[in-house]
Parts: sequence; C-alpha cells; structure tokens
Amino acid sequence: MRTLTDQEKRTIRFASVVLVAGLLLAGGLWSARRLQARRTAYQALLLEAQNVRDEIDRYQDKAQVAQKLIDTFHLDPMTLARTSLVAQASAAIQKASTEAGVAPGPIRESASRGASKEMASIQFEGSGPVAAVMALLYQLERAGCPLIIDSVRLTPDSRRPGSLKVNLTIVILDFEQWKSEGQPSA
Amino acid sequence: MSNFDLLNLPGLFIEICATSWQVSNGDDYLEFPLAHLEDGRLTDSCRDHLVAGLRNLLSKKGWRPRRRAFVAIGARGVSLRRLTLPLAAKEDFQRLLRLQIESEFPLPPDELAWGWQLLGHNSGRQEVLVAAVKKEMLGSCFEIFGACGVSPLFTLAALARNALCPPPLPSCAVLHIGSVESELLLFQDGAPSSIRLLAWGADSNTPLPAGCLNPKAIGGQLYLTGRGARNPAVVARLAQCLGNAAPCPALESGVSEGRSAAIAGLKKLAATGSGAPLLILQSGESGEQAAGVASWKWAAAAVLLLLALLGFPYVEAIALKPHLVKKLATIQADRERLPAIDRELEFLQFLKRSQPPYLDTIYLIAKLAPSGTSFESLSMTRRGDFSVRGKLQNAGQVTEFRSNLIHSAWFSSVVVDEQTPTPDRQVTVRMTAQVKPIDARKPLAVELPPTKPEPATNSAEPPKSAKK
Repeated sequence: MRTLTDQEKRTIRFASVVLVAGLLLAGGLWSARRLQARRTAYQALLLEAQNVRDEIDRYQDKAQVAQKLIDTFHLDPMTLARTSLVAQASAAIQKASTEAGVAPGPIRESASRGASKEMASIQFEGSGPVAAVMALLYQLERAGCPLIIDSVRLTPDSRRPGSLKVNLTIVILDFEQWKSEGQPSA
Repeated sequence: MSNFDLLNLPGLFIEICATSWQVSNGDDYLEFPLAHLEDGRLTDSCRDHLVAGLRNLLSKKGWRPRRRAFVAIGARGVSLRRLTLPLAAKEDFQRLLRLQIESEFPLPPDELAWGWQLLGHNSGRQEVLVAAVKKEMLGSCFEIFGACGVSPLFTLAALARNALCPPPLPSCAVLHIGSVESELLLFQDGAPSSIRLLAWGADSNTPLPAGCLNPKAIGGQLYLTGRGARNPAVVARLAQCLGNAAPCPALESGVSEGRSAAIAGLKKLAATGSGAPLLILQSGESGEQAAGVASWKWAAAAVLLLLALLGFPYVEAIALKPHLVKKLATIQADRERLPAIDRELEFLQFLKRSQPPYLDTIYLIAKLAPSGTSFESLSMTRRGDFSVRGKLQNAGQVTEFRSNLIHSAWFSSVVVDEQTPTPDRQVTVRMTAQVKPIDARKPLAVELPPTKPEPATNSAEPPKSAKK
C-alpha cells in the first residue's frame, strides 16, 4: 500500500475533524431539540398541575363551608340511602318529638311531586307544652335527615289546658335528584 | 526568552548521577543514593524511596500547577554533535534537523530524546549543537517525576557545569571527576564540540588511560569539577598526564563541599537570566506532554461544566417528570370528587335557605303582641304565609299590634281580615301577613333572661310562652 504524503495526511485529518464536528453539531442540535420538546411538555404538565392545584385550593373553602353545614344539620348527604330515607326520616321525627316532650299523634306519609326534588311529605300531629313544641321545631332541623317544615299550625289543646296542638307538614328532600342534576346528560 | 523564565516557583534543580540523585529545592538540598538491578534499572524500593523523598520535599498542594524541574543528566549514553544546516524557515528547519539527526545518529529521532542549540551563522549556513540520548534511558525518570507531579526539563550536566567557567570561554575542556568515572566536555571556538565518558575517577587506583586526554584537543585550558577537583593528588596525576602543558584550575569555588557543580551552574543561569540558553532534550513523553494532558483535563472539565450549565434546565424535566405525572394522576383523581362537593354544598345550602324562620317569627309575635293578648291559632308556611287568630283587649291594641308588625320589618302585607268585638268588650281578630324574604328581614335582637342558663341554641331559641 502506498504511503500517504504529509499533504494527504493533513487533508485526511482536516476532513476527519470537519466530519466529527459536523456529526457533533448535528447530534447536538438533535439532542437539543428533543430536550427542548421534553422541557416544553414538562412545563405544560407543570402548568396543568398548578391549575389543578389552584382549583382544588379554591374548593378548600367550599369544603369547609360544607363541613360546617354538615355539622350544623348533623347530616352528610353522601351517606343518605334513598331507599330507606323516608323510614329514617319518620323515625327521626318521632324520636325528636319524644325527646322534645311532644306526644306524637297521627303521622301520614305521602309521595312527593316529582318536579320539586322532594321525595315525600309527612303530616305530623302532636301535642305538648309550648316549650316542648318550640323544642321540637328546633330539633327537627337537626334530625339528621334532609327535612324542611313546609307548614306549621298551632292551636290550643282543648283536652289539656296549657298545651298546644301542633300540625306539621314536613318535606323530605331527595339528594339523588341533586346528584343526577350534575351529571352530563346522554 | 530564557528557559528559566518558565519557572514561577522557587527553583527545583536535579542532577542525576550514576550513583545518586541530587536535588535542590530553594534552600533545601538532598541527595538520594541509587540502587540498580543487574540490567541497570533502578530497584523498586529505590524508586519508591525517590518518589516519597521528592514528594516530601516538594509538599505539593493539589491546587498548584505542576512544578517544573531542570534535570541535569550525565554523559552516559549521550551523543553530542555539531551539525551544519542551510538557513530555512522555522518549520523547514525542524524538518531539516530531523533529517540530519536521522542520518547522523544511529537511531531515528522518534526513539531519541534530543535537543538542539543554535551556535551561529556562517555564510548562508547555520551551525547547530545537537545532543541526543535514547528515550529508554529516561523512561524511569519520567515515571518518577510523573508520580511526584513534576514536569522535567532535561539537559546535560556537562553543559550546565559550563556556566561556571569564567567568560570569555576559550577553546578548552571541562573535566568532571566522579568517584569511578569522569566526564570530559571539549570546546572548540567557544562552543561544545564533543563529550566523552572516561572510565577513571577520583577513587580509581589505576592511572588515567593513555591518550584519553590529548593536550591538543583540550586546547589551552582544562577546568576541573567534581570530588576529584579538590584532591591535590588527583590534580597532580592529571598535570603529569598532560605534561604540565596546561594548568588545571578547579571550578568549585562557588560550589559547597559535596554539592553538585551542575546544579550550581543551573542556579547561576537561573539567577542571571542572561546565560546561554540550555539545550533541552525533547521527548514525546516529556513533562510538556504531562502538562498538556493536565490542560486537556481542565479543558474537558470546562466543557463538562458548560454542558452541565446548558443541560441543567432540562435535568428537571427529565428527572422530575415521572414524579409529576404520578402526582398529577393523584390530583386528577381528587379533582373528580370536586363536582360532588359542589352538589353537596349546593344541597346543604338549599336546605339551609329553605328552613323557614318559624321560631324567630313566633318569638317576634310574642314580643310585639300587646299585654293581655291571647292567641287561638297560629299558622305559617314555608312560603311565608302567616296568619294568626286571637283576642285583644280593645280595638286600639289591634291597631298597635298591626303597627308593631309592620315596624318590625319582618312582615309585609299585614292585613286584619276580621275584627269582631265580643260581649266582654274584647276584640276577636284574625290577621294575615307575609313574612319577608331573609334578605329583606331585619336581624332579631334576642333578649335573654339573665337568671336563666344560656341556651345552646341560636336566635331561634323558642320562647317559653307563646301566649301573653
């Protein structure tokens, strides 16, 4: 094989350096582009995480208010069972009546009107001292069921002087209708 | 530029003799005896001893650059030639010199550690002094200096001793008398011409070999260095050999007892800075190369640092992305619960808003009713319909009661539906009203009896009596 001259060696060296530099440059640019793409994706992910976190932070206040209301009403809507809610409400009303000192009378349940997000309504009659009736009105709001007293009628109890007869129409709200309201329609 | 200008630290000078290494570092001066194997190489223990001794002497700090050392080697294995070359440019001169060395020396330049020194120009030609030694002879030295972090610059000890000769230098010779062998450096026209190693020293009992000191070759003067130069008997023997033709002055006047004349010469050149440039033996594996390697290391470190700097913004994206994706998935799972919280809150707020103020209304009615009023029935609805039927003392109380209801800012549309006087001069009355929405109502100021314990309820505390 012919021995290379110095000029040829220099040319080969120069060509090698240029080739390696070119390869390095191309590789560097390719790597830089890939890294930049990854960084951009990461930044987008970071921004998304930040937004989600901000959104969740905003819900902290809502969650606190909800918790306060849960404590006030002794009621956690998420634990309500629709099938047994009317029975639970009836039992809670009678229990509140007994605890307040009101003698329960007839109790009538009727199905609700569908459009008003109500599950049922209960007619309650009872009698007792004034203070007991007031205590009943107070405790019904905190009976652990979603109850709203639709109407109140107080009349003297002719059989027991000093006592009142109380007629209440109580509505039981249906939380399931709130749940389904938030779901997207098909 | 003098070679000594390269030294920016206290001078480190070393002479490598056949039997010892003599090292001068500033004011420190040490001598390391050598132990050789049968093939002439240094023993391992001797090598370790040299490395440890040099390291201890130099006390090298990691941040300091490599120390340069001028190392004077003996004449064993050294060839010294005067070559004449045509005038040429620098690159061509190197090429010419290599070609000349290749033709004059038995080994190719790549296998030699060689150096040159320009002696002068003469009618379009230039005279060059070339010294060369086999690389193998310096191999162990490179290992030792490399282990100590020293970059050696090799020169000939004989040339270094020459610096001690009084100027102007005549045609003469310098004889370094060692214990068992001597080095003879001959000068012609003020420049070194040849170097010889004589198998005769101060401790030799044999006479100087005949013909090795030719008075003609020596010229007018023979300078002496080394241990034997101080020995009158040796000097007398030399004078006898030379036929008392030339005096034999010693160059040891500036050299302490037991110290190296070569190191003294190197120091003298370093101190004056104007001495003739030393002939430095170049080698492919010299300290320059080591320094070059060190420079490359720094360059590589700088490039790495630069790459790290450029890559740092991307490291976070590469390293933390999996963690972030995992965390985001967890957050997204939590996010799906948010609508449920919304619905729950909305439901509870609706429940709260829908609770009619029955107790507050009853409390207000009891408070506003005139004294002596008795109620027969009271009814309210969630939509705010309010009606009451009762008996008041007179018609004036009816008006007063009605006014009180209106001024309480709780009721609107207060209507007296029926007002009937009774035989006992009282008035039976039936009134209806509309309870205002919560936003339009005035907050109640509840007056609690001081003697009673504070009830655990809010303003809707039931009154003790609904009848007055």
